[in-house]
Amino acid sequence: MENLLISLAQNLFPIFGLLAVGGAALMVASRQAVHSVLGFLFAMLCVAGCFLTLEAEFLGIAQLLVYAGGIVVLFLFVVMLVELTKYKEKDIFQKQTKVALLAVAGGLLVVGGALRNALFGPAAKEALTLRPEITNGAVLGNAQAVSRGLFADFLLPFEILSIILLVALVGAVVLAKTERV
Amino acid sequence: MQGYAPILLLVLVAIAMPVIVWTLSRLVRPNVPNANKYMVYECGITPTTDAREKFSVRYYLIAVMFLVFDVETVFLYPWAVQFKELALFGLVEMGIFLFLLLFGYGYIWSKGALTWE
Amino acid sequence: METLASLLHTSPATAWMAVKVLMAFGLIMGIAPPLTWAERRGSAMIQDRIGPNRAALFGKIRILGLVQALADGVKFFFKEDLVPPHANKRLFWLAPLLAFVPAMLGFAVIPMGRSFLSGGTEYHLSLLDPGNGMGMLFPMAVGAMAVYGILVAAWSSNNKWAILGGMRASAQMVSYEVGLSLAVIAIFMVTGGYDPHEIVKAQQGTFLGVLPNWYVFRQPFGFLVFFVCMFAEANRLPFDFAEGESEIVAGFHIEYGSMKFALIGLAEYGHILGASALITTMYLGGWGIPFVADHGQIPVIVTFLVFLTKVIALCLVFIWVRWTLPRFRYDQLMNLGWKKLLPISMANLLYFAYRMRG
Repeated sequence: MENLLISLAQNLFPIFGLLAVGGAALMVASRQAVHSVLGFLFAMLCVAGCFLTLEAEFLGIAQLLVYAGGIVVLFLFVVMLVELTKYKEKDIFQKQTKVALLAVAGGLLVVGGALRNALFGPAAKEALTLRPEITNGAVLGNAQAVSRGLFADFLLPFEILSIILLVALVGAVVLAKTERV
Repeated sequence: MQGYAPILLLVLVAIAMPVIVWTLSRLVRPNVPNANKYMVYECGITPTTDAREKFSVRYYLIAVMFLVFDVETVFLYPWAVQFKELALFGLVEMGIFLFLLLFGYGYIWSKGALTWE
Repeated sequence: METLASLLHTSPATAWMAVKVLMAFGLIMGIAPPLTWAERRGSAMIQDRIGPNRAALFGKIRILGLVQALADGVKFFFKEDLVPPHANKRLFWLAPLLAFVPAMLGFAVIPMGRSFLSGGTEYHLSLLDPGNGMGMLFPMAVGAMAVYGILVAAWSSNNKWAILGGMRASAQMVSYEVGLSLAVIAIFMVTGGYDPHEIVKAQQGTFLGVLPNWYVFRQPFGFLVFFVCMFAEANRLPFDFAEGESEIVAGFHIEYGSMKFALIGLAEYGHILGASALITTMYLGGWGIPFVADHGQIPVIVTFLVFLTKVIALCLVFIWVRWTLPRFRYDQLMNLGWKKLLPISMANLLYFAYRMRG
């Protein structure tokens, strides 16, 4: 019993990973939009668990706050806002098979390319090892490490991000305001 | 990872307890449903339309605004804990970031997105 | 600790973990039912009624009607459990769990007393040891999960009142989360970290010579925002748009009965307890005794009791406010959240950033 528990505890990362894939599968396979969203939520929670097993606590928490706490709520709102029951399933889903296949192929290419780069590319070794200041304990926790990376190394992307957020904010208002409800 | 075992255990306990209680109470509770018990609870009136109606687009707007500010706070956390180390440079950097967002905040306020009619 | 561990045939670390998990879970499960009683007696007191005082064990033991909580529990257990045919069955079962689990995690990282040494190792009265990297962000993240219990319960019930209540409540909860996290950031900034143990330590001693060095005095505006947002997050009056008895009967849990309803109820009181524990740790000095700078000599049990006293006092404030203030109108609520609390907490944050610029 105790051995089983210990081996479970040592393999939490693959367990969470498999559960996340299961959640994603549920999301794709389910016919009911709300079930899909909840499958997505479950996958996101498991990904946060993956981050925690890798001791990337801040990323795990950010995953919980932004994805599980924010984006999924948005999806759930949208799914509940539109009456999907009024449309026939055929009308929504059947005409897009070709487009969907193309999109999937494109996505696979991008992801595959990125993976190939990360695993076998010239910078693979650097990308796959923890940064030395984290492993030798030069920084206290990973929020501190994140803040170093964010506010020193990736200054410009960070500032650009605020513009993206601004666009999202303004865009949502403009879109919502066209329909007076 | 060892440190997070208690959390996992607590989650499991919190899931197990309702499941156990449900199973136990299933053994003792009565189960005699009838059509009246199964009616939609609408203060005794027979419901006319489906409950899942369209909702105001404002809910969607609220969710988007929440998301934007949520992402913003996630970036503020690491900034706040390293505030002393980042010093004035960090303050200026975050100042620009916040200024842009506050600009957006002012814009949606002026457009009346924050006003619930 | 060693004796307990040897009794259970495990290592001290495992035994301590079991004790902590049971404590965090048992504390909520132990306080929540009496809290329902306190709510009813408190409302009766405020409205000049008597309140529940009839329930009795063996026809004799009444304890001011406290037995009522037990009687309620027994009743929930033996009630018929209906799943309405118009509901989405699977989600209808899932929703109470989604509401219950986050509520039970409320005490997870909160230090409930002084850390102490036993047999050469240091033991901490919180589920996670200090320096774990999640710190106070964990309760915030878990608090964000509370929306799902309400939304899923509302949608799966397929009832007009339920969906109305659920949508209103979830929009309210996400709106107030923004002000909440902005208020908290000012504390993290002043403390220089978000570890709850650090936050509690930073609040020991005195402020301006006469006040305890609590954040409630050092950041009164942040506290105001945090306190109000906590009411909204816990869905308590004046923010109880999830239920709104006078308008939509019982809101999101209108179709729920028996044990499933009990779980949702427990989750509500769990959230009140979690909110109280959060406010205590962030703004009221946690387990620290006011004006005491060095807690090294104070017995652990005293610090635990101090923490418990603060939490329960705050719970009573929650009850007091519920029966004193009327409910907001929905547009007032959105106004307050987006146009008042958000700017206040943002100004609070910028003020402390300016003062600490170094």
